[in-house]
Formats: sequence, C-alpha cells, structure tokens
Amino acid sequence: MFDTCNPMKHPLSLDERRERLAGLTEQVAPVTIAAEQTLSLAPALDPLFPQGKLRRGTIISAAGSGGALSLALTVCAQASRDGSWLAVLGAERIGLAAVEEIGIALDRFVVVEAPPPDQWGSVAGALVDAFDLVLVATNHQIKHHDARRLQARARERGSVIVHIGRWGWPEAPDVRLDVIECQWSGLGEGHGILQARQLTVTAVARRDTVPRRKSSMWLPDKQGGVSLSNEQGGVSLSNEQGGVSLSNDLADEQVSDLAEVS
Amino acid sequence: MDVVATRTLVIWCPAWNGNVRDFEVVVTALEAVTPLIELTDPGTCAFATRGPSRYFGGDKALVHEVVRRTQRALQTLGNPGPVRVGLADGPFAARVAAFREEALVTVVAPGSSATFLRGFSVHVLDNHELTEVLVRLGITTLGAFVDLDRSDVLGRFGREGEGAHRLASGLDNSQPLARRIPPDLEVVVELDPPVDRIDQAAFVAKGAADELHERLSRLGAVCTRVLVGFESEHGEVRERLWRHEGALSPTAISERVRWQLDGWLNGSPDSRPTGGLERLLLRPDEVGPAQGREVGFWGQQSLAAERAAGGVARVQGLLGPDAVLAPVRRGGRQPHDQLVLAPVAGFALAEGRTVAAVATDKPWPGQLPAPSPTVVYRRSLEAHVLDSHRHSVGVNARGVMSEVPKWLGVGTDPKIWFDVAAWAGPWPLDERWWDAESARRRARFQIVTNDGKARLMALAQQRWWVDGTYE
Repeated sequence: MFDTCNPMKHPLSLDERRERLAGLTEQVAPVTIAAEQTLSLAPALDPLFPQGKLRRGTIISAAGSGGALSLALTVCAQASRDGSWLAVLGAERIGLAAVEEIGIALDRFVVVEAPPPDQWGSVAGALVDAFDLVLVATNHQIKHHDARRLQARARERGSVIVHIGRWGWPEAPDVRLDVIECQWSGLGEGHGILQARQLTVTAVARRDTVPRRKSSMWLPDKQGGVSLSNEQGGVSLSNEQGGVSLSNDLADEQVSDLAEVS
Repeated sequence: MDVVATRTLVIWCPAWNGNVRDFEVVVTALEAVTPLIELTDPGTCAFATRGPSRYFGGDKALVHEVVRRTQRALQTLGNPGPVRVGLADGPFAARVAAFREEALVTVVAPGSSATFLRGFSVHVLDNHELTEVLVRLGITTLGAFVDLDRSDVLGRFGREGEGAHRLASGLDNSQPLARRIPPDLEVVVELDPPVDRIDQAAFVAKGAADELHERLSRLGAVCTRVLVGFESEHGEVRERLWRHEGALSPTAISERVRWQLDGWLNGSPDSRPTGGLERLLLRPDEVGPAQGREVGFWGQQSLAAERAAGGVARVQGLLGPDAVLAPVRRGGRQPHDQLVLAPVAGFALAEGRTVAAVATDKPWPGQLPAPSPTVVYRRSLEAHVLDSHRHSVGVNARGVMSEVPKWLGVGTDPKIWFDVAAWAGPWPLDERWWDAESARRRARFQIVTNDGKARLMALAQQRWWVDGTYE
C-alpha cells in the first residue's frame, strides 16, 4: 500500500492489497473491536436479538430446563473465536469438552470458583472490568444494588454478561432468553446415541421493535454447531400481549447442579 | 593474578507442588548460606557463589551444604523430593545445568560454559518462536546456533536473537553485579494504617508496580530483576530478589509481591511478622534498555490478554491464587478426564498460553463421541433407575440388561421421578483392570427423560450414578 514512493518495484495488485489488509486486520482485530458497539454472533442466533446483533454492554439472561447453559455458551462462542476472552463465574462443574465442542477458544477461557456471597459483587465486578464476556452462574439471589452496579460497569466497559441461575437477574435484563422446548434426537429405546437437540427459544428484549421473538434451532446440530431449524421456517415474531410464560416447574433444578456454594 | 569470578548456583525442586508460601521455608533455610537469593518461580532459586563458595571451601562443598539444607527444609514441609543443583559461570548455564536430566548435581568447570552448552537442544532457550524457526532451518543444538555469525543472527532475529546467541555462547550478561541504580527509580509506599491482609497489600503493590513501570519506561528501560521489600510496623524486614526471563510487567511484579507476602504472612509462625505492614519497597535491580517487544503481532501479547490477566490478578487477590482456573489437556476416556481445570497465574495468561489441541494420534478407545455433557460431576451424583416393577435396573456380566428402564430419580432418596423417554447403552468401560486398586469398571448410558433433559449415567457395582448432564 505504501509502495507509491517506489514505482519501479512491482506494485501490489488490488487483491493482494486486500488480502494483506485483511490479514493485518485479523491480527489487530481484538484491539479495534473495542471501539465498535457489537460482538459477533453465530448467524443462527441472529433472530433472537434486536437487529440481529449482540450489543456490548448488555445483560443477557438464559433460562429454561435442558439447554440454558449450552445456549448461554453458544451466545458467547463466535465472539470468543474472534478473540474475546470469556470468564465463567460460579460454574466449576462446567464440562470442558462440551465448551470446546461449542466452539469456545480454550486459550481465552477462565473459570472462577464461586466466591463467598459477601464477595460476589467485587469478584463479578473485577471480571466485568477485565473480560469482554462474563458468564455468571448463580445459586443465590443477586442483590439489586450488585446487579445495578454490574450493569453500569458492563455498559462502561463494553462487556457482555450472560446470566444463568435459578433466580433470574433481579433487574430486567437487556435480553431474556427462555428455552421453552427441548428435544433430543438420535436416541431410541435401547439403541442409538445422542446426536442433536432441537430447542425452541423465546427472546424478550428491553429495547426492541417487537415484544417477543421466537426461534427454533438445532443446538447442537449434527455437526456440533448451531443452526436454524427448517421446519418452523426460522423466526416467528409474536405480537401477543401476554408475557412469556416461564418454563415448567422442573426448571428449578436446572442449574442447581452447577456450582457448590457452601 | 587469579581472579575468582562470580559464579551462579541454581537450585530446582522438580517435585515442588507449586505452593508459594511453603517455598519461603526453603528460601529461609538457604539464607543462612547467602543473603542474596534470587527467586524465579516457586520451586527455583539462584544465588551468586563467590562468597559462599570461599566460605565453605570450594564449589563441591558448597553444593553439598546447599543440598543438605534444602532437603532438610523439604523434610520439615513433608514434601521430600529430589533437589537438583546446577553451578556454572553464568545464570543461564547454571539453569541448564540444574535442569539437566542426567545428573542431580551438575558443576560446570569455570570457563567451560560454552563447551558445556553446545550439546543441548535449542529448546532450552525457552523462546518458542525463535526455536521454531531454528528447528525449521535445521539448527537443533546450541552448538550449531553458536557457530552462526552473531551479526547474521542479529540481522535475522533482531535483538532477541542476539541475546539468545550470547546466552548460548556462555556470555551471560546478567550477572548479579552491584550497580548503582538512580534512587528515583525506587518506589516506596508508606502504608498508613498498617496493612495485614494480602489483597489490600496486593492492591497497593499493583499501584506501586505501575508507578515503577512508568518510571522505567520514561527512561526507555525495563528491569529483569526487582527487589521487593516489606517492613512491618515493628521493624521486621523481608526482602527478596525476583527475576524473570523477560521484562517484568506490572502484573508480573504485583503477582510476585503477592507471592512474597503470602509466603511471609502465612508461612511458618516463627518467621511471621508481629505487626501489620507499614512499608513496601520496589527497587529495580537489573535495568536494561527496552527491547521494544512488539505487541499483538506475534499473537501473544495483546491488549485483551493483558486486561484479562489484570482481572485474574485482582480476583486472585480477593479469593486466593487457586480460585482462578484454566483448562489443561490430559488424556482420558471419561468426560472429566480429558480436559481439566488447573489454577493459573495471571501473568501467564498475558504472555499467551495455548491449550494443546486434541492429540489425534493418540487413541483413547472407549471414548464417547460428541456431544459431551455441559455439566460434569467430578464426584458423580447418586441416582436410581427403575423398571416398570419399580426394581433397580441392572446389567449382568455379559452386558445384558435385566429390564427396560422406566423411571429415573436423582439423589439418594429422590422426591421427583422422571419418565425415561429414550435411552441407550450399556457401553462398558473397563479401565486399569490390571491394577486391583485403581480399576474402574462402569457401564455408561445416555438417558433422556420426559422433561427433555439428557443425562450421562453410569452403572457401577449395581449402583446408578449421574456422570454428567447435557444442559
């Protein structure tokens, strides 16, 4: 690109320049993304988010039995692959092989043991300051002032907090994801093996053009990634007035296994 | 005139469990031999040997004494293990000598470091990028590397390569010489009121480390060795020299401050300070020009990694060094064997770490294919699987199930029972059958219940367990 001062040298073709620029951009990418407002998202999850984007500085909560943790990790996966660091707070029993399969970069992945409740706020705050993506798994009810402080910090730093836990986020999260249906395929009566899971997820966002979004997807699909389910034709934007019905009673157990908080 | 040059002795405890505060005991034991001990990581330390060698009557006697004291210290800690010692002209050669596998104690005769180093592989330079390129060029030993012309090495690899070339030639330029450091490079922090908690002191130390780094960068210098000193309100002083292979970043300095404090405050009762800490001193001991390491283009040090390392250090200051974990790959069939979480030091993250990719050349027959459970229990949960007659489902020695599973309950005395919607198995797993103690025999199953949740179950000795859940 700067060869114009030496016209005798072989000038780079436009394609070569584009390639070089793309290569350099890739190297520098994690630094420049901070200036932008969004983190990358797997295309199959676009229908769940306003404008199809994962905005920095937002709180996302994922709930529902059988799929909330995978969904939460998948929300972070593309951004992690692109260079962001992910910290998990309070989920020491997380399955690392599954984390790798979902596509999280293990080089930029850190797990922090659940702290004593009085230190939870400071530890979560320290993580939100330092990591682009923080997955928070709680077994206790988060205090309102902790939540508000974290929200403010996340907005200031441009971090994304994804929350899973028996008790939801105390304030209204920016996006609330609920797994309302969960169906595994591949297993029969005494034969087969788990292959793929179909999830129906609803999303309610604070600032959105529609009150509720619904999407059906394979997570994981047969290749181990996430893809939209063809049957329901993708997105169904609901204009019903009623709120989202939370998942069934058995949801209480969903994340109680995740962390041992003594 | 026969000038007795300073030599360096490096001690390495390979079986060290990584515990920082216990290593203080070993260092204290060695302080009786020499006051100027330099620490690199928990488990390794070094010191200059002109004085001590003369006092003990020669190198061999000194080494003997050092090994004796270290072993005694390790015994009192209940952590006996081999002690490896290397003694050579310069710190690099001494380190290589200590890590040499052929002998526990290696003494390199004065002046023969260059010949000694020739036979070693280039990997001992501990510089991954440089080594990769050298190996590709066919240069596998330090001898071959040294045979290259130094100006060529400088041209091709830059200052780093030149530095490595000097090290490989036995010309260590990092001797523990007394050099006058301008006093305004020291950073002294008075702690008022006195501090007696590690996280408070670590917080102060981070600020001091940043300040020190600031002062050094203004001079275009970096330090590879730093003296960290604490003074308690009753006048007790604890000073330690810390060295690092590359330049010491502020995060690295504050990590070492935390280690030192951890060792002092929580170490053996007789060496603990009797009051709070009043004064923190950071003095750069070896200052050299900044080599201008590029940030980001080698893919190792990037802003995001530095930020993450800082966050990790802060959390460790609050919860302790073992609270932050990162994945490490091992082998194994069970989901909780292959990748495990291990404590990580903050600055190790900043310098770039890679989790080894799955070893495709090593077979682990009996592994279940993807997808893997997202929640894995290190201690499996008790469970019950019943057939339509409410009896526990079993598997006989030939792998034939007694009945079809109908109900699943988790816990010793389940309150909620789920209908079994789909299932498959048994997939037997017979590990270490040759060792009666560690033999593991399980039959694994995947069971999906009517709420849509899938679980990885195991049947061992007629009892059911939940190994993992596919959340």
